[in-house]
Amino acid sequence: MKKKTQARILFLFIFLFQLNINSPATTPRRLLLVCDTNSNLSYLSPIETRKLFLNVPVVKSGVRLKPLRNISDPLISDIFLQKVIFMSKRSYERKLLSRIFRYGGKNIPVYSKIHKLKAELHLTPEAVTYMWSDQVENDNNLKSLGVLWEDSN
Amino acid sequence: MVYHNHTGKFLYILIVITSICYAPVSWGGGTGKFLVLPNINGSYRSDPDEVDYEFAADLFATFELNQFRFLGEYFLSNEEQELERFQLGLSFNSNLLWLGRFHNPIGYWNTQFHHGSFFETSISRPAIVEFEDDGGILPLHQSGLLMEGAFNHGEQTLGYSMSIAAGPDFNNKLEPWDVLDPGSGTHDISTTLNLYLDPILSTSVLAGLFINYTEIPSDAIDVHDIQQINFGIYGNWESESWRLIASSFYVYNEVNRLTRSEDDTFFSAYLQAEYNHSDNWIFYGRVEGTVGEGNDAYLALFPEYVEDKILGGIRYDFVSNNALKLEISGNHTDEDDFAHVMLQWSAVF
Repeated sequence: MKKKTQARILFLFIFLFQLNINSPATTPRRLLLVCDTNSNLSYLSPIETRKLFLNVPVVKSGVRLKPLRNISDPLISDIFLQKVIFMSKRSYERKLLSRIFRYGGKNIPVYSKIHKLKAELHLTPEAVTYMWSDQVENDNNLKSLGVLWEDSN
Repeated sequence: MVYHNHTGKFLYILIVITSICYAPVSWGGGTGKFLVLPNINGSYRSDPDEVDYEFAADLFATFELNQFRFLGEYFLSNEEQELERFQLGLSFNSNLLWLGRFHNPIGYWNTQFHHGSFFETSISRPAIVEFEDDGGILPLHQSGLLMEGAFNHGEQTLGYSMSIAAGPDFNNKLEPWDVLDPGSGTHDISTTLNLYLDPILSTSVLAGLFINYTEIPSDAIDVHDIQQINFGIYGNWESESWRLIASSFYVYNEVNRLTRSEDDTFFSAYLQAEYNHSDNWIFYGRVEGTVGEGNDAYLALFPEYVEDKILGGIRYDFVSNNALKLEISGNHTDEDDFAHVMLQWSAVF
C-alpha cells in the first residue's frame, strides 16, 4: 500500500474516532409516538398503537385517529416493525393490503420526508406518527404520546 | 355466466370504478385504491385424464369519503366473469354497515381471501368453502345487509359479522344473486352470525364460531327447495415460521322434493399447515374430510364435491408481489378418486 493511501486511511480513522467521542452519547436515542399539540390526545396504549398501524379503526373521544407511517430513516422503520408491529416488512405490507382487500377503505399514508410528515401532522390533529425524540424536542408543534423504543446502550 | 354477454357491462364497470379511484380531488378529498390480481393456472387431473388452464384477473376497487365507503370486486377469466362483491358502506366508530353483494361471513377462509389467489398461500380452496361457480355446496355470496365490527375488552377484541340477505338458488349448482342481472333467479333469505376473538396485541391466535341459515329455492326438476343450517368453529394460529388454519362445519339440510322431504346432516373439517422456510419459500399441506356424507340427499346434488382430500404444496414469492405455487393433491368424491397437480402464477399490482 502506498504511503499516501495509508495516510488517508489513518486520517479517516482519526476523524471517525473524533466524531464518536464528540457525539452526545449521554442522551439515549428514543423513538416516540407523536401527534400535533392541537390534538386532544394524551396517551395511546400499546394495543391501540398496534391496532392503529394495522389500519384497524381506533376512535378516541369520538375522533377516528389517522396513522401516518414514517420511512424517512431505515432504522425507524426497522424498530417500528420489530417493537410495534412484530412482523417483517413483507408480512406487514401484505397484512395492510389484505385488510383493504377485505374491508375496503384506504391504506396508511407513507412519508419519506420528515418535513412533509410534520406538515401533515400540523394539518391533521387526529394524525399520529412516530419519530426520533430529537426531532420532536426541537419542534414546538409536536407532543409525545409515549416512548416506543429506547436505546439501552 | 357466458363471457361475451357481459363484456360491455364489464368494461363499463371497470371504467366507473377506475374513474372513482383516480378522481379523488373531484370527490372532495376522498381516496381510493385499485388492485389488479392476475393469475394463470395450469392443472392436470388423473381421472378423467385431462389438462386444463385458466387465465384470470381479479379487479378490486375501493373508495372512501368521510364515513362512506365503496368496495367492488370483479373476477374475469377465460371461463367466467362475475361481479363478486359490490358494497356500499357506512362506517361509525369501529363498525361498518354494508349494503350490496358480499362474501358470506361463514367460517374463516371466505372472508379472508375472497377471489384474490395471491393472498391465499395455496392454489385451491378447501372443498367445503369452494365458490358456487366451482361446484361449492354452501352459500358463499349473499346480497343484502352486512354489519361488521369489533368491541375491545382489554387486550382482546371481540369481532362480529352478521348478515341478513338474499342467498343463492339452485339450478344444478348454487347461483347467488347477480348484480348485473338482478331479475334472474329466485332468491330467499340467508342470514349469518360470526363471532371471533382476536388478541390483536400478539396476533398469534384468532378463534371464532359461526352459524348460517339459508333457504334455497330450486329450479331443478324434482327439488322444490332446500333449507340449510350450518354452524361451526374456526381458528388461525401464527408464529414466526408456522401458520395453522382450521375450521369445522356441521351442515343440516332439508331437501323438499315435490313428493317428499329428506333431511340429513354431515360434518366437514379442514386443517392447513404452512411453514415459512424463509421470506420467499412456504411449504404447506392440507387435509380435508367429510363424515356422514353417505346417501346424503343434499350432497347427492353435487356429485363433484370432494369429500376427502390431502394435498401438499410449495409457494415461492419473488419480486415483491409475485408468487409461484405448485400443489399436488389426492381427492375423493362420491364416485371417483383422482390426483390433481396444479401450477399457478399469481400477483397483486
